[in-house]
Amino acid sequence: MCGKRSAWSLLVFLVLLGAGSAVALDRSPAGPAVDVPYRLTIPKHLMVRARINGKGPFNFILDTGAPALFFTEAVAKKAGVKQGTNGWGVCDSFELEGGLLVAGAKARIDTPFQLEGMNGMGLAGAEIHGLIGYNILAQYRITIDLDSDRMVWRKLEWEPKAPFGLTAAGGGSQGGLEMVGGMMKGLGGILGRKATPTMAGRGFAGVFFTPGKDAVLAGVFSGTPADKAGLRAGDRITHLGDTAVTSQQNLLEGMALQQAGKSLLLKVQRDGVSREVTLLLEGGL
Amino acid sequence: MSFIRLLGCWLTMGGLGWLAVSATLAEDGTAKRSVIPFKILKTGHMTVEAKVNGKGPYTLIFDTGAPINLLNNKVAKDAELLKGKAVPFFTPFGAKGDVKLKKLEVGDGYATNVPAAIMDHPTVDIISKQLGPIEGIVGFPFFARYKMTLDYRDQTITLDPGTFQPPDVMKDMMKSLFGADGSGKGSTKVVEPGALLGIIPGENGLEGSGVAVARVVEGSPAAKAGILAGDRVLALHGRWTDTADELFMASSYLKPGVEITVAVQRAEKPLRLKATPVAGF
Repeated sequence: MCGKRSAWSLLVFLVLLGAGSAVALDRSPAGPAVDVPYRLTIPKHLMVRARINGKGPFNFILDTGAPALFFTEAVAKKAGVKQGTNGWGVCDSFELEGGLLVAGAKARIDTPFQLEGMNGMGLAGAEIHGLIGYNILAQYRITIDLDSDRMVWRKLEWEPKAPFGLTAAGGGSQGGLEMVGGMMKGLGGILGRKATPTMAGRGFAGVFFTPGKDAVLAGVFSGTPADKAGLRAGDRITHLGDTAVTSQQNLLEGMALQQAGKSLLLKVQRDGVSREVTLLLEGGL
Repeated sequence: MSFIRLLGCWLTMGGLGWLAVSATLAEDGTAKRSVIPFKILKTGHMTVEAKVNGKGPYTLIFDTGAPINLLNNKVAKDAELLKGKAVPFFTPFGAKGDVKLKKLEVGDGYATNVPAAIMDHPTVDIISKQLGPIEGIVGFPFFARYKMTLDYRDQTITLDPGTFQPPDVMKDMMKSLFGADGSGKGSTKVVEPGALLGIIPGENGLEGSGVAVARVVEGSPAAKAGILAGDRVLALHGRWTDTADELFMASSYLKPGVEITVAVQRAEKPLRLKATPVAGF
């Protein structure tokens, strides 16, 4: 055991030395910048989307804590990626949203227990199909700015070393933590949770504002529900349903949960006269 | 609920809320860039050297997939992180709950008043035993306040000061699990456009073929951009839109007055049109 451990350490040392000398030799510039849009999941994972062999998009967490690209058997099947006997598969095409093509992307076809649990409980707010880890990430220089809704990826011309798997004493490779995934899945089932929530667009009325403080209409698009209900530029919205409106921001916050197909009661003021209008919200954006 | 919370913590490594995370400041108080060297383990993990409340350095895994920072009990003891803290009765994997670190230094970048969970994470233990020692994980609460550049070839993490305020991971997750926002609960999650274009979507497309435009609102930003009924919207500002749901999701990132590119398919021809959405609903 002791001997085995020191052999591992020796290997690491050599690997690091190797990587160090590669850096010194290879200073070719990075490739052109590609914007890759991302989304933050509810537990604050950086989620990007990818099409594999033209299928998808599938949702991936950008994870420097994962040794490789991982995706589930279901994704592999849908995208027609064949799993070799060693557990790896190669994608003919792996395209990140934003238009970045990863050549010859190798993936571990497997369902990490974290994904099983998160999807089972619907924790992320979107179904997570896989992880993008070291073997892909290392080929790029990646800039992540949480103030922006897109990352910037640039290709680096070098060959990252292939990652090695580790073996754990006593069975499961995650040290006993993998049972949590199944437990979460079971619990999620009992609680009626879904990986992908049912979505609906906010309803469309057809009014617009000059960005700023006031909830005064800058105009109404013709042929829209607001137009049909008789709203006009200059109308001040004072109430959304029974709730008083104090600012444009406050109004938009109140509107954020209003779905298409529902009717909306607004109280507006025009020339000092208050009036109520009811409009049927359309599905639009 | 606390049990679910505990499970949730393990899976997503979510932590409690935190207050400010500071950008690195130069001596004169102006924000500056820090370049942090990292090592690549043979498993592909990146490790950095970090100090916790001035103690250390400890070797930690730098993990963009970790919504919290995580430290093992050895560091907790060393840096006296559990002093005066009530230890839970049930402590599987040595999980002692969340603590606030006064200062977490990674290279010459640092964060103050930053949360960390204390736990002997079994996966970290396995890596530590074979490639270590490794004492924990640096995650989202550290890097989110920075504009961060990862470069495996140079083996550096470059941090430039940012303004992002990391939200409370656990609060958001609990809200989603038990609260009213409906995400994942079987009820409907309403997606709010960030600004208006004036597109009424029609039928969904197959993979990669775009959602149909049923109607373009007269005089709207979409109309001014030259989008026509019958076009198929392939992408909104780089985000793929094969379905109305995806179109709404992509539109949630729009900002009033900020020009974007709309990729559409008209007959057999792909077009890239520019549109400037407005504030409204």
